Amino acid sequence: MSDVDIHGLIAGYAVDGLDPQERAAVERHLPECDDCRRDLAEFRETLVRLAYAEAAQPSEELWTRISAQARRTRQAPLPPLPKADGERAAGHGRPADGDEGGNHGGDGSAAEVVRGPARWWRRQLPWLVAAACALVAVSLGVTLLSVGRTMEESQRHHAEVEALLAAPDTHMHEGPLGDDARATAFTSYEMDALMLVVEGLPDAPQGMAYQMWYVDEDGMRSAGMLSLSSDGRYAGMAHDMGSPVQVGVSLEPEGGMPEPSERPMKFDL
Amino acid sequence: MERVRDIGMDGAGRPGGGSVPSNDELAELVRKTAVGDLAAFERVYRELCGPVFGVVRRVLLDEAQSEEVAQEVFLEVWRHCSRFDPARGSARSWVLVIAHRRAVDRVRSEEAATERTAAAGRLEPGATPADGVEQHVETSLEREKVRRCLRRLTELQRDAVRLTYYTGYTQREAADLLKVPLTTLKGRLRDGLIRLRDCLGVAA
Repeated sequence: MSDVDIHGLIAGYAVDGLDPQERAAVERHLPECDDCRRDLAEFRETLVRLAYAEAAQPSEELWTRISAQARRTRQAPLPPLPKADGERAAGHGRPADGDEGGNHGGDGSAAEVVRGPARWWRRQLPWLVAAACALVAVSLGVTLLSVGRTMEESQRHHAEVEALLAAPDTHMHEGPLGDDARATAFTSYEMDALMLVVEGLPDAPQGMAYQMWYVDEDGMRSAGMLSLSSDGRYAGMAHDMGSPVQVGVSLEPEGGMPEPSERPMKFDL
Repeated sequence: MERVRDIGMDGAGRPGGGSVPSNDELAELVRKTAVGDLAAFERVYRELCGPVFGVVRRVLLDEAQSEEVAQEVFLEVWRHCSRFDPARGSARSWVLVIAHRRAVDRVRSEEAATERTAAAGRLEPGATPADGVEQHVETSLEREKVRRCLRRLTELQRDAVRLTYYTGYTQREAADLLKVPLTTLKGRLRDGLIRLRDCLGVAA
């Protein structure tokens, strides 16, 4: 199928009127065709208008059913965090289950990462901020909820996380932690705060928990505990950051210790 | 729907502003939903349940099935809203793409196969998309605009849009039903959408 043929299929794609092979061809073609993506976006906005013209009120019980089910339904994991070297994988490493739920199917190359010294991830990829924010907020939120705290409290955490990510001087650091884990940290001197997300840590044994440490010239001080999220990541947010050169993580008795009782795994900031 | 909607623009120019979220506000609500904010999710639902349910019902022609599908749609939104990317289109479009696809999947599934014959009957000349959905809905300006724009299409353009978007046929099936070559159908569908787009003043 030629590109011209495929371009002629965009309308059919927008109305879900293609055969599976045609649909696959369009989805392969979209990333490399700016005009096609623009046409598709416009057709879809047009169809939004058609849908609104069809609007009809479902029964009030529908929301009751949906909200009840949503409470029991885990939200899908977020796209992976960006790599510190500006790799684009994060944007396009969405779960490979087709277009369903993914924004505009196949047209995954819209965002261009321009490498820059700082915060390229925020300037260039606003959704990435949302994703990073959500990742941590979810980690915190889920844990908080699971120990019976209130929704308000988890929302306060969301707000803190969002504020940190939105701070003008926020930096992202990414690297290995210990032998198997990878850590991503967001730091802001202005907010005096740090947020850490760790993937690949073994589960803490019963009665134990991971504790974060700020490592600076004066030694180590506690930066609070990491919480386990339902997707197996550990995350934590800490204030009073100061100017640490590293962040450490060690396994401690639940509730934390004033000083690390083992040599923490360390991660450069 | 009890309000006049002007969803084509981003908040600006909407009479009274009111409680209809702009595209940006809706995107923000979806983003909050992604972190488990049920209150934000409810606002997304309140804003979009009408068009979602309406368009699904338009395809399925069955109230109960349409609620089932609408429920699936919103749960999918709940599960996957972390994937919504405002850079690629509006939240309304994102949700309604899911809704239409789900409806079409349902109508094409085997259990619905018997309905297809009945669906062909929906091709009465002059039928407007809103026919048969009055019971819950007040006439809105938006509906009138869309009707007017649909009337401006050629008959074949309108049939192409109707059989695919509103009824859930593939282009191929629609071409067979209309007894025109597939290439003609494709062209008319595309022309029809372009004309609708221009008539409705849509800019992506």
